Amino acid sequence: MSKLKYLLVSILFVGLLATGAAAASDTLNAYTIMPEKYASQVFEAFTADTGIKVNFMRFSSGEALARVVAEKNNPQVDIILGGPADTYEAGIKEGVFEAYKPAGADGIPEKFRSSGNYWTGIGVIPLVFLTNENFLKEKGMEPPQSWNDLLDPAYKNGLQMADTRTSGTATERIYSLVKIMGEDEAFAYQKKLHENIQMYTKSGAGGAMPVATGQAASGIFYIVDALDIQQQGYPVVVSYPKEGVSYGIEGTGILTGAKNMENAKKFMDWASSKKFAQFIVDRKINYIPTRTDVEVTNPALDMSKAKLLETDVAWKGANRKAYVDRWINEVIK
Amino acid sequence: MAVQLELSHITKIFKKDKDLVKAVDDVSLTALPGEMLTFLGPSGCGKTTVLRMVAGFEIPTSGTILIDGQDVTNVPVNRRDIGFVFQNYALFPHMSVFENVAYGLRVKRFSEEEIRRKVGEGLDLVGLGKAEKRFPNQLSGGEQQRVALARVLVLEPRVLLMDEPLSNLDAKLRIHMRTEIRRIQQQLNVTCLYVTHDQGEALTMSDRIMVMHRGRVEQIGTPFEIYSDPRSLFVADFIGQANILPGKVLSVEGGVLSVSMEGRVYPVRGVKDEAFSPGAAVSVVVRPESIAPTEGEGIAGTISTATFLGGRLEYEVLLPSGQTILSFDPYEPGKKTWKEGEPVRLNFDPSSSVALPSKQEVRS
Amino acid sequence: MNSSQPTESPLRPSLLKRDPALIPALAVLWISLALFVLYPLGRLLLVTFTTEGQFTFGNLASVLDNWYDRQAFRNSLFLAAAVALSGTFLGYIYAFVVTRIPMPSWLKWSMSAVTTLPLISPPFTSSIALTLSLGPNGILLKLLGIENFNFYGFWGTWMSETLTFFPVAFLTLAAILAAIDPNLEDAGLSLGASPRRVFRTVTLPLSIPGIANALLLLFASSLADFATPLVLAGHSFPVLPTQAYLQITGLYDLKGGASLSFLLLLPAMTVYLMQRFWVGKKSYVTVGGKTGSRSSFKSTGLLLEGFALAVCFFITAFILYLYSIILLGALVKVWGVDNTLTLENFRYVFTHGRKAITDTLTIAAVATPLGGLLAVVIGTVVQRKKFFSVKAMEFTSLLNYALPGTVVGIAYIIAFNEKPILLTGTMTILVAAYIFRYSAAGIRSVIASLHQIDPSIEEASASLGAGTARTFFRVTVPLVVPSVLLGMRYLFIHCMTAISATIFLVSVRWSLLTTRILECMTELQFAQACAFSIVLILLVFCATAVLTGLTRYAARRISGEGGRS
Repeated sequence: MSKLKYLLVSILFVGLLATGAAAASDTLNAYTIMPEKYASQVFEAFTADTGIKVNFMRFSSGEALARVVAEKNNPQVDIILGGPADTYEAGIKEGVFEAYKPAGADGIPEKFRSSGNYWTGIGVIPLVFLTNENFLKEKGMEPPQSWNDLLDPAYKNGLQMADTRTSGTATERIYSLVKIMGEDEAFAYQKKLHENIQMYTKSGAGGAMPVATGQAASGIFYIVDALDIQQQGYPVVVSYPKEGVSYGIEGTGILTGAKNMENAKKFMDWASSKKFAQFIVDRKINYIPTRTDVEVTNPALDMSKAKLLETDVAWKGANRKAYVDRWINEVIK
Repeated sequence: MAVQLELSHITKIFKKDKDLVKAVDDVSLTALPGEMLTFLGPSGCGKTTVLRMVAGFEIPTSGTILIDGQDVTNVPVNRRDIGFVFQNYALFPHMSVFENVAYGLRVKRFSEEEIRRKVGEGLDLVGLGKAEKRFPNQLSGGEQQRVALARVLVLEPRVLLMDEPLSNLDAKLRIHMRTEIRRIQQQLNVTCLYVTHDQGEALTMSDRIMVMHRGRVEQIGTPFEIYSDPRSLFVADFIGQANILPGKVLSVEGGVLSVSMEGRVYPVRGVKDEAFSPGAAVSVVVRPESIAPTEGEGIAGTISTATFLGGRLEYEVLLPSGQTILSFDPYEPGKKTWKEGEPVRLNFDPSSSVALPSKQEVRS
Repeated sequence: MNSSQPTESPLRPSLLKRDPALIPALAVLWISLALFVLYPLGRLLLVTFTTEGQFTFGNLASVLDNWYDRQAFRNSLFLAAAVALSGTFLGYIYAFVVTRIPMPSWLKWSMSAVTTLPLISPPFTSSIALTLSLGPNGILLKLLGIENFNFYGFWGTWMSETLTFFPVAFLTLAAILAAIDPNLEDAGLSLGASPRRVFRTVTLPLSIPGIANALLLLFASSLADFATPLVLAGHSFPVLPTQAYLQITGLYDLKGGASLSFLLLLPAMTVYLMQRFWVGKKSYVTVGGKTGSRSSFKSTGLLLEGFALAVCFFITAFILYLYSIILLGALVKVWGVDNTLTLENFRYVFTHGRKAITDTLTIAAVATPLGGLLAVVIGTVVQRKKFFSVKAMEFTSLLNYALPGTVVGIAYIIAFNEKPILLTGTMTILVAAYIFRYSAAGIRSVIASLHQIDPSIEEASASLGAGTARTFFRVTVPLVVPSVLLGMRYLFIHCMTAISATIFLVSVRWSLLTTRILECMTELQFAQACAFSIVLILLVFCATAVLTGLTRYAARRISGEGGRS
């Protein structure tokens, strides 16, 4: 009789410990840095092709990396989908990625792949300027054609772009500027640009919606986020600066100690295949495929008019933290 | 099958803030089978604590408790086979009267049929046969009290413990319930400890009374003994009302002392079991009902107040020594009455008074 | 009845022998509390104060050396103070209007109902709506012709947090104001004071303990708030919770994050201790005591009442306006561009968001009864059992609640991410985070209601032969059911709407609606975020309606006077 209470309290306790259920084996667990609406299509297609079910969560690149580093001893997921290559480079240093050369790797140029096969590029995304059309009409201005156009006082309190501490888009912005102007000049420029900033957003795409709705006038984004907003029907213009932009490589990779290693490898093989490249083109997922054997149909993704700057992924990874620190201490102070 | 209850050298120390408080100090007593024993004392005297230790709600710091010869000092409440009636009744507000009374029976796993019968009998015993389906908040105070009583009686406890059960009732009902409880206790022949601070209740209901003061037992005895032979000034003052007159023993003869007080000499009975010698200071307990103003001989004084109460007159008489004496004078038509300010003589019957050694202070 | 008011016996010869269920119950409770409250906190401190096994202040010093983090610390305190003041002011006006100004009961009801909206909403709701209204190019700004109003930063965060948290102050203060005996105010009037003087000299001073309590509650809420500054504070107004989050997620800096959350812990603990040991002892109002004939409240003067009513109506209208923006946002195709009505966004919520919905509901459904049980057991042990560790147990059981969610979340990922207790990615870690954080309300209300139930009720049960367990389940539990349900409602709401701690704990297998809303917002899916919010609010509303109904039913069943002394 008096043991009843003891029993109940024990159930409370044991129940707590036991609520975690074991995972099934014909599944694949993933973090995606690629936007949810694209990732869900990608994984759906993968499931349709292989029968492997995918559980996934979307994080910004910083969050995803922080998580896999934190979970190193007990990986919660098997792969990461999407996200800039420098994020992967940072992860390699932490030892969280497993080397694997996927079946379709040879169809992808070497500069879009990790030298140690820790990650494989599946798409290329340059930075672009995204500007609100109504804003331009009101002010009688042309879309920005140069980085310096953004320093125009007309943009005062009107720019939204990503915060370097959380967003790969933001660090890409710094890489572009350093390539164009050199490091010190790049930070001097950003200090001036800061005068026009309305808000630095947590995620790379975070400022695109405010630009779309007219809350903000303009911003710098990866093309994938900019085109997405445009496709939704908002009055926005996409333009490229004449000085050029660097581009990110959207990668994917397997985590060391993945619990569903076979499925993870199957995914890598699938993601590096021509079929996948064709799939993102067909679905209007706005990456430029890394495979050269697929034709891009969307004119907005035609890079012939844009000046693309070549940047070394290893260089990006090596300088990331220093640039972020400098940004915190020089630009936003 | 009434049982005997024994407490020996029970002490209870509480920690209050940082001080240790001795709530109960070396209490020993034996309640005989079927006896109604009342704990009487002012609030804070420790009487409730003793009762709660008998019940098992508190554990004595030292000492032992025996029920029917069995040591129950460390037996949990629920295994002691006692019935406890609370001052606030402590009926379960979420259960009907029937369920309240059936509660203990269900614990003891009686059959449903048995429970039905016993609850019926119990409620009949307290005169509440028709209230089964009602809830405690639909009952009057007196009815709640009866349910509380029925709830313990159906279990046929070895000892019945009652903690000021009548203090929340109005005066008339209280007097009625006294006799009810006494009747039921005698009818069931159950040993009963009864806590009260009402001396009238104690005197009318008890076989014996234990008077407590500051955690200690002042006296245990029958109502008559307590009243006529108080063992301390505290008891004398607490039971009934008492005038305490200081005096000096002139001589001792048998049990009767010759005491000089207020300039006069009276023969006064010395309290039992105390030795007196000539020259000793004593306190003489004079009950107000045995002292009255007179036109004849007596202690001189002045009436300071006179109050007519219907059946009697109450006088407060100021003595030259500064002491005030309280006197109850039965009223009869045609009898002489006094007014405030009038000088009087006070006459009293020394045989109904008792002398105590003058060593304690009376707490006012 | 018990005149000597026993507290604790210095010598306990055989308490345990007499209450055999106590030892295992205490052991189990202490083990759970140690595991889910003390251990994570200890690990957090360990990470903060050690580097490679050596004790050091270095981690903390490097955070304090950083101007941006120092700024965040100052901002956090400043914002919390501002929100505490404005929220308490607003809450007092609301409480005053509802308890003191005669008006039709439906109006009173709807005003109280509107104030509960922010309490059951996911954290970003008011932020989204406010941004659309007062942010750059916001509807209201355009309407009023205001330009160049910098909404991001202090002003936006302050406004949003005030609107989100003032209902807490309102509830606290309404209870206090309603409990002030109107006879006291009558006495003031009868002594010749004007209504306004009575308000100033009687009503206001009597409500000061409530005001102090509301100030502290709001200060703590704002200090711990993570969601609002994440969306609205921007780079110019860093605060500690978001800074700690960014440190961990953006810079992969667990030590820095732990140090920042330690900085956050200091003011939070100060407030908690002040509340416990200072405000808690200063109440003039005793609830539940019998008052004489209750007189009606008298007018306090037209000017004061008019002002209070105007403020109330304005705020009520504004809240309704904000929520209609959310509703509208969920129903149009593309906000501000294509305003055709559509249910497309809800279809998205119920397809792409289905997992999050079922996960969240599952977690809430598991956590709520467990939390209720925990509240009853801890509440009973703390209030009824005399044992040396119960004070400490009460303190510990409320600790996670007093700490900002960010601190708890970071402590949990540090503690449960490696052996011996590996819980990341499980539902357990989410359920545990919720239970040990949000059962606090239940524990408090159980303690409060046991405080009003005379122990003689339970003693009666024991003296009738019932053991500890039977007494607990047949007598104690039924009597505290209303307060347990109240606590469960609070727990459920927070299981559905909280984000600050659990954003660190979600996993691919267990996701939450609130993190989905955050995701939608970072992914520009504004309409979907609105639709998610609406669905979440409706779910919470239905569930709380059921729990409230149950509470009322249970309370009516045991409304007897039998337990009062």
